[in-house]
Amino acid sequence: MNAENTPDLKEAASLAQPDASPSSQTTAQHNDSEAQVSISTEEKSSSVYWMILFAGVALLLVMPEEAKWVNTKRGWFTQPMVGSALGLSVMVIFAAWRAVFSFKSRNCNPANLLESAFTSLGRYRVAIITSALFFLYVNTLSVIGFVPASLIFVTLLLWLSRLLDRFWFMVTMFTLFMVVLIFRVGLTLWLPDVWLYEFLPEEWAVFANQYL
Amino acid sequence: METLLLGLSEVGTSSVLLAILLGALIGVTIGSIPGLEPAGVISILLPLSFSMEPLAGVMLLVGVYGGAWYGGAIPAILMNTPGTPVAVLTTYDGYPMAQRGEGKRALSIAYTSSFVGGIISVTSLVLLAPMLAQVARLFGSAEFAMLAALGMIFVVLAHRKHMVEAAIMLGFGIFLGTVGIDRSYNSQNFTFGQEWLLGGIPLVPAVIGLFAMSQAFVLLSQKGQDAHVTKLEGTGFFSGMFELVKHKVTVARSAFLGVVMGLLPGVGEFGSQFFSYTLAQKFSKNPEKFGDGAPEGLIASETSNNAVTASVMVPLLAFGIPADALMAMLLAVFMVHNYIPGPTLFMERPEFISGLYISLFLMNIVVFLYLSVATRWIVNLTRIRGRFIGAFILVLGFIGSYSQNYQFTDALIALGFAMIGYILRRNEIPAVPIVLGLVLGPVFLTRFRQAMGTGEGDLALFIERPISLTLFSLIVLSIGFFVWGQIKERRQMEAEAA
Repeated sequence: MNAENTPDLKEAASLAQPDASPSSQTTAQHNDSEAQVSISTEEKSSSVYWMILFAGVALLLVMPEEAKWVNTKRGWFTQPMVGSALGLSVMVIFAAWRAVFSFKSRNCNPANLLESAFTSLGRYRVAIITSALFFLYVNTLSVIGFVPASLIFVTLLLWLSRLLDRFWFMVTMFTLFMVVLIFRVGLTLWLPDVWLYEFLPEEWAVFANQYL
Repeated sequence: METLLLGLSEVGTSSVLLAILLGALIGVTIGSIPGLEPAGVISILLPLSFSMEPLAGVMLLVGVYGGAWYGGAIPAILMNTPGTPVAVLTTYDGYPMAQRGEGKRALSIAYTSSFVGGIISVTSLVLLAPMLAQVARLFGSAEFAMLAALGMIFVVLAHRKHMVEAAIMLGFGIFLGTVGIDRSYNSQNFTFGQEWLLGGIPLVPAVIGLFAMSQAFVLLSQKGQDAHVTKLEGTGFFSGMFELVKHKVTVARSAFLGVVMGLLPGVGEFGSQFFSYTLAQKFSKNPEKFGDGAPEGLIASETSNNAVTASVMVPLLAFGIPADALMAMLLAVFMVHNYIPGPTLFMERPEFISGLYISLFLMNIVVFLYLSVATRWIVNLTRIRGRFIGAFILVLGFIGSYSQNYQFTDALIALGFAMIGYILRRNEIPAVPIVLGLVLGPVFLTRFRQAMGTGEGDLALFIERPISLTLFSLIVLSIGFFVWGQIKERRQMEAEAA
């Protein structure tokens, strides 16, 4: 049997778990392809469990305000807060299990936790920047229109990820044209009237508001 | 016969045929692009499916799902990179075959195995769903509550190495399902005074954020050059059928495992593929060839994962209990059209059920024919850069989340879930339990309240009714087996260490 190709079924089993992310799948592969995402299991952090734990406890604490106890004779099981309490309790108990276990195994102190939280923020920079751009994109749609906003948004993302060149710009233009054709023309996706198009002649403005 | 004709007339409409064709083509395409998961694309298509005829909407989503599992074999065999999560084991024997210059033969085996697995799966759905739907007629609120609880527990147990994480996420999903106005008392639950939360957490933006947009973040984080694709060479593009006849026992065993695993919530194609491969190796005359390009390994892997695609619909159709995230999305399509899964659906909409069966058979045939003819062109799709796809997923994610209610806030909810999804991905925490908690949580709570109301608040009701008691016993047994397994594993590890 070829030792290099021997299937490590334990590894495969963990990879073949539901939700095995593309990152975890591809780290198992030993090629230099683009699909090899630069996320590794080493980056796993215990801070996420602490965050979940704090969020869960905070939600439990505000429960008397946010899911009130109703005076009724219909039984405790009809109380609106039962479901929320069940969900949050499951979340908090298991998050505490993980958090405490990681705390014990790493012998870490609160200062390290803070440091690790800041380090984590650095690792999420792509998602944070992309989210900020997406937020701007959604908010500029009714100002400059779907096509200009989408073109700027996509080209900016490609530029930031160092993929933008003449070829990919042309591909972007073509793909955007197809998106407009399918969603705005074919499926008549409605969007609010655009501020910028008000400056166009009326017929053009109507066309632009309908399709662009 | 009459039902069959009714089904044929349902399928014969242009919208259904177009949906099957489109779904299959989109599915194969996304399956062949590494890193692009079908769940993400399906979530984007979900609002579109709401506006379609019920059968067309369902087939669009199922077509993507089924097609992706076929297409995932292409990059697995030619690039050693699974196109979909379930194609991991396909790489072990498919890639060495491609390296030996047997790429066409390997793809043929993969396609034929997937096709046979898919057809067996649809047949099992045809046979099992009506039978189980008859059983479901005996169900009351207590039984449905227990079934929903069993589904949620299975989902957690199915995440073998991430069970605690899955439980955390399930709890989070159950909590999210309670946000909004409680209809019993017209009181607000965790809305924080926000008007947009009064209607609860909308499913569509949540799944788009968790699966599609978070995936876009991952794709945009990628670095590197063009992927290395092994040249498609060799002969025997139609030799797959002969190989399957040669290894018919492996085919039958893998298909059986796929069908059975599909019936269990959360286990699905991941568990089936692993068990099928292990058993195929165990019973093979040449186990040493596994991992070195053994057609038998490829057959086991591909047959089992496609044998799940239709059988996974059995719990949904018979009981209205979704077994995975896609089925939760399908349930949403059913609900939008007021098609309530369960025994009444079989009685009231036989043409829909019959049409669904025919469409699933047709979908497998369309995908198989498409792949047999167009593989040489589809291979080029593997060269599309992930960063480009990531950027456009965000645009499509906006369209998908916005288009259901024409609310920009839905796109921002999707963005929030995208961040959550990305954090989960980076920490290898599963997101599927959130969706199942969001869908099954309210089912459980509603049925639990109804049952308790009937039983005047006495919990003994759940063990007094025979079916409820059986389901309750299954829950206890599942947890018991799990705990026993964990103890055994730990003892074994301790013994090895000593």
